[in-house]
Formats: sequence, C-alpha cells, structure tokens
Amino acid sequence: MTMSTKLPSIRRQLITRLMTLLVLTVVMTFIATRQVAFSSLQQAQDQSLSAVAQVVADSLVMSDGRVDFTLPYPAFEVLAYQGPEALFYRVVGPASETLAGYADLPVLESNSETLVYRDVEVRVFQIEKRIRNDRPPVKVLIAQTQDELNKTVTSIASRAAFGLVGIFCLVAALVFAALQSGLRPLRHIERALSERQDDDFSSLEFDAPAEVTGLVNTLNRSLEKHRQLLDRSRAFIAEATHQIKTPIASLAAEADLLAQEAPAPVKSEIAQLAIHARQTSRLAEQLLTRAALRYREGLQHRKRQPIAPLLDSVAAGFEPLAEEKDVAITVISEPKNCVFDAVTLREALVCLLDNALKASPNLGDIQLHAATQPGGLEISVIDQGPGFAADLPPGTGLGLELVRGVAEAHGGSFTHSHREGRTCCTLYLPQ
Amino acid sequence: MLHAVLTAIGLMASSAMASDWIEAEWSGGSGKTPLTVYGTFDLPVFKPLLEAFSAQHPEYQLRYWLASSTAIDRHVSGAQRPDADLVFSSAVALQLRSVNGGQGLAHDNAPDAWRARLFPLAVEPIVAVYHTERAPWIDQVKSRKHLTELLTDRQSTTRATGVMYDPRQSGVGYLLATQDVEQSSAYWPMLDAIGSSGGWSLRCCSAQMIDSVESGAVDLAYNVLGSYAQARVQANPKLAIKVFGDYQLVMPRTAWIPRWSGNPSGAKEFIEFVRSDAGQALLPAGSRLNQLYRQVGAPRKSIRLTPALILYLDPAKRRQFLATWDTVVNPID
Repeated sequence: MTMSTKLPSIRRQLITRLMTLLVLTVVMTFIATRQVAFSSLQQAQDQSLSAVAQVVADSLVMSDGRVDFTLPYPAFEVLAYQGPEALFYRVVGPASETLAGYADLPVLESNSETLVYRDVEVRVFQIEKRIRNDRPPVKVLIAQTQDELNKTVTSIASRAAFGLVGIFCLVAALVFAALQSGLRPLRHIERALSERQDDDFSSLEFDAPAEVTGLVNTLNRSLEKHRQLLDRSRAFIAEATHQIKTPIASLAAEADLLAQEAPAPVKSEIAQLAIHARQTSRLAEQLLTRAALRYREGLQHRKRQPIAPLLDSVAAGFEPLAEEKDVAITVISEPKNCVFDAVTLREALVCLLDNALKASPNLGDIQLHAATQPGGLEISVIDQGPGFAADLPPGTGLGLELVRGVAEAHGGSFTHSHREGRTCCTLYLPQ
Repeated sequence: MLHAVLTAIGLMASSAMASDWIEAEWSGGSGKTPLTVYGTFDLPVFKPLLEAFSAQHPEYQLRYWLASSTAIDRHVSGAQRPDADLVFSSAVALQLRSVNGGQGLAHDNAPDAWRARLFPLAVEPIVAVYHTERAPWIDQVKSRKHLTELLTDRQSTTRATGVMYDPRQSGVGYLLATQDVEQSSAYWPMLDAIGSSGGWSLRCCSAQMIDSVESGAVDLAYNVLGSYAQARVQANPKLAIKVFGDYQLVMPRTAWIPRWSGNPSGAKEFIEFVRSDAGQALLPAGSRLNQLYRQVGAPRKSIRLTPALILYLDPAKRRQFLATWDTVVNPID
C-alpha cells in the first residue's frame, strides 16, 4: 500500500489563513478607524476654531477710522477645555497689516488648512469679513496644534483594533471547536475500519453529519461491492474445487489401473504417467485447499467432533503406498471429541503423511499421534526420515505452508523438529 | 578654600555681566555640570529649597538668578537668550506664551501641567491687606459686591481709600486685574466705588502697597501676594489680611525647561524635587501646591493654564483694557 501524498494539516492551513486574515483586518481596521476618527475629530476642531473666529469677526467694527474688535477670553478658554493644544491667532487688517496675534501665521487661500508652523503641525481656520465695501476684507485666523487630537485618534484606533483581535480570537476558538467536532466522525470511521476483522464487510452504522454522510455511504457501497465480489469468488472456488477434484482423482485412479495392465514395452512409461497423475491430483487438492482456506469464512466450519475417525481415514488412504515400501502406519488417538474443521485438517494431515511416507526408508514406521495438551490438541506425524533441510525455501511443493495456514486458521501453530533419527511434525490446535 | 574663592570670583564676573537686570543670585554645589535657574521667587523664601536640592545633587553647580518676571521674559524671548535650564516665574501669562510658542521642552505629563511642558511648582494666593485701627469695618465686609454697596449707599458715611498695582508698571498687577475682569462682574463697580469714595493709589510692588497701608495713607491694599502679606502681618499686628468671600485668585508659580537648555535632565530633577512632598515642605505654608485644595472661606480660583492668557498680552487687547481702566481709575497718587 502506498502512502498518499502528505498535504498540510487542515488545522495548520486554518491557522495560517486565520492569522493572515487577522493581520490584514486589524491593520485595515486600524487605518480605517484612524481615518474616520481623525476626520471627525478634525471636523469638530474646525467647528470650534471657526466658532471662535466667528466671534472675533462678529466683533469687528470701524471706530474713528480704525478697525476695532474684541478677543474674547472665555471663547479662547473654551478651546483650551477641549485639550491642551497650543493656540495661535492673527487678525489681518485690510492693508494686510497684523492687527493682533502672531504676525508670522500665514494667511490661507481657503477656509481651513493643516500646515507646519513653528516646527509643529497646526490646523488653521480663517474667516474673512468685509467691514467696508470699498476695502479688502479683514481676516481672522485661529490655529491649534493637533497633539491631543492625534493621541485620541491613535487611542480610538488601537481600541478598535484590540477589540477586533478579541472578537477574532473568539471566532477562531469557535472555528477550531467546530473543526474538532467536524472531524470527529472521520475519526470514528477510521477507528471503526481499523478495528474490524479483515473479512468484515458489513455497513458502517453511526449518525454522521450531512457533510460526512456521502463519505459513509460511499464507503458502505464500496464495502458492499467487495463483499459481493468475495462471495462470487467463494462460489467460484467452491465450484472449481468440486469440478476439478473429481476428474483428476479419477484420472489418477485410471492411470494406476492402466499401469497394472499395460503391456511390458510401455509399462514403465504408463507407471510414470500414473505417478504424475497422482502428483497432479495431490497438487490440485493442495492448491484448492489453500484457496478454500483463504476464502473460507474464518473458522465457521469448526465444530466439536470425534478426531479418531479422521486420523484413521487419512491413514487408510495411504495404506496402498505404505505397503509398497513396507512402511507401517500407526494411529494413536487419545482424545475423543475435539474442535476442528474436518476439511482443512484432513488436507494438512494428508500433506504431512505424504511427506513422511516419501521420506521414510523401507521397513520404517510412521506414527500419527493425537494427544491432549494443556489448552489444546496436539497432532504429530513422526517418521524416520532425514528431516527438512535447515534452510527450507518456500514453495518446495511439500505443502508446509498449507499446513501452517491450516494451523493458523484454527488459531494454533505448526512446528517441526528432527531428533535421534526421527522427524516430528506437530500441529497445535487450541481448544 | 581656594575653590570657594574661585567660585566667588567667577560669580562676581558673571553677575557683573548680567548685573543690569539680575536682582540677586545664589550659587551652590561644586559639580562640573551647571544647572541655571531664572526665577522670580524671593531668595530668602526660596533659599532653603535651593540648598536642599544642591545637597541632594552635588553633581550640579546650581545657580539661581533672581529677576523680575518681565526682565526674565524679555531676555528669554529675545534673540540673545541666556543659558538657562529652567525658567521659574510667577508671570503665568508670559510663561504660557513662551511655551505656547514652542520654547518649552516636554517632560513627563502631570494632571496640573500644561502640555507636559509648563509645571506649577508653587502657588501664590492673592489677598487684601487692611489697617485694623484705621478701617476695622473691613473685617465685616463679605464680598467685593458688599464693599461696593457699603461705599455707594447714600445713607452710609463709610469712606475708603485703596492702593493697588499699577497695571502699566507691574506685569503681575496687570495679570491680576485682567483675571479679576474675567472672573467677576463685581470688579469694575468696586474699583469705581473706591475711586469715587477715597480714591486709588497705584504702586509697583506688593511691598510698597503694604507700606502705604502700614503708614496709614490708605485703608486697603487690594491684590497683594499672599506670601508678602503673611510676613508683614506677622511683623505688624495693626495689619490684617482680608479674603473676600466671593472668590480668591490663586496665581501659580510655574516653570518650564527651555529648548536650548544644556542640562534638561537636571532641570527635570529640579522640577520633580520642588513638586515632591519634601520640596513642598520647604516652601512657605501658603505657597504649597496643596493650597489650591484648601478651603479658606472663599472659592479659590487658580489662574488656569490656558492659551487664553496670551490674549491680554496682545497689544490690541492691552490697549483696550487700559483704556477701560483709565475711564474707571483716576489715581490720586
């Protein structure tokens, strides 16, 4: 199974995107709030400056040919109440002469302007008033620094930005909680799939949110397809086993018969054919048994039944061959009823006995021995053969893999040993 | 010893240079870094504070130049400004004009400071002084309005003469008069009432005003600096302080650090020291900052540190004020 390409985790992606969004929104909010706050506070400042300028302008009169006016102390004090800003003013007469205030405060082209005066930024408001129609107007200028205003603006913008960070943290927490609960069904599926048996193809049954229902349904459909495929394979193998075993067995039997009656010139070839036929029959049986093992549904066919008849029947099957080599096959069966699957266990024993008979010297003996062990049943096949090579490669046709497969399908094990001229193959089946 | 002599010689040299406008001087500390303070606070009153700071900060060579507020302002605002690390003056309008014009250096802000640049270090309550034998009835006067009524009542035989600052001569006098105008509508009628009754004398300074009362020439000295009045009343039991019940002006003595200060950190330490509890304790009780919050039977109106103060410094506004003044006050002396 190949690992799928690793994409960054959803959480990390979410964090990255949320953080980017957060930084962008906070910066934008700060800038936007600053601008809004600044323009509204400056508007308010303009209004107070214009009010004071208006009061001065309203007081302008001509008396004895001179421009006269009042600089109202309370009005200027009101400006100071709005914040400790530096204050500048100037009254410019019709002949551009300074009548009062700071003579170097520049006259404006427009009503209001922000300019640098005495090294600091000041907001200037200017009002023009014509006292006599035939002369240029008198100009009244009031100017204030914007230190406190800027401080207030920054404080407002910071508060807005901090508030946003707070809201954002709350949203992020909610998003992560939602993600956590959103991913929970996926973990349920993962756990359900990893915990189930290999051959369990039943549907996943749990309540899934709408977003995950599709996945669960697809998984269930896929499981169902696999189950149907497996069923068809099982049916096919059962059919094949049945269809092939019988003709090959009868082919082998007829070859044996033919070998006995064949005329001398071809007798040896026929005998050889018979042997090959038998080997093919055995091989077919083994392969089919292995296939059957793989596709048998677990150990559903295990049941409690007498063991002795199985052993006797297997031994009886080898009687003709044993007689040819004058080998004696002894069956010792201590336990009576045991739990096993008769079909597969028979194949395993046939395989072991076949090996034992081939390995046995003439006049040797073979024991087929079933014994009760603590917690299980032990079936041993003991012969006087040379034993297995130490580095026995798989697929030697000895069928040991099949034997091991049978043992494991029963939840047991298969071991073999060679000691004092005897080889012992043992199947252990827990009961 | 030699060092002291050298210092004395150095002082004589510098005082010789500045002698035309410097009224008194004090020097302390043997440090290399000079810390120069220009102030209007009288030396005998301010000396304990200077000595305490100098003892605490021997690293500075502390110099205090005493001068009139107008002289200090003229020099500090002029083109040939003197080396100064702190300008400490009672002329709050002049002080504010300097700082408003951008001459002050920013320091830590304090609630009672203006733009973190102009700091009140002490206050000067403004009082009236009268002669208890010549005019005992003044003790019973409730307010400026009450005084006006007593003098203008047709049946009343009460007459009074008064002395006050000449606003043309004295910056403080001009400031107090203009503050009275802005503070109360009872001011002009009161000036008119005394003027019509016994008449006004005008003087340059608090001391001369109290002299006039002490000599019996006038009944009432109006708008006298509290610290002077206190000292004189203690010396002469025939004199008494009068605080009118409608309001009492309190003038802040403020300080700012010039932009061109060579020792701004020393100046800041000096400000902090004078404003600290230890520093305030060395001031006359009536001049401490906490006086503002003391109840004395009259609402205390501290002259607020606002740029509106500079309006009366404007020649146009000054001309208008003095024109009105002249129509009301016809000094007899």
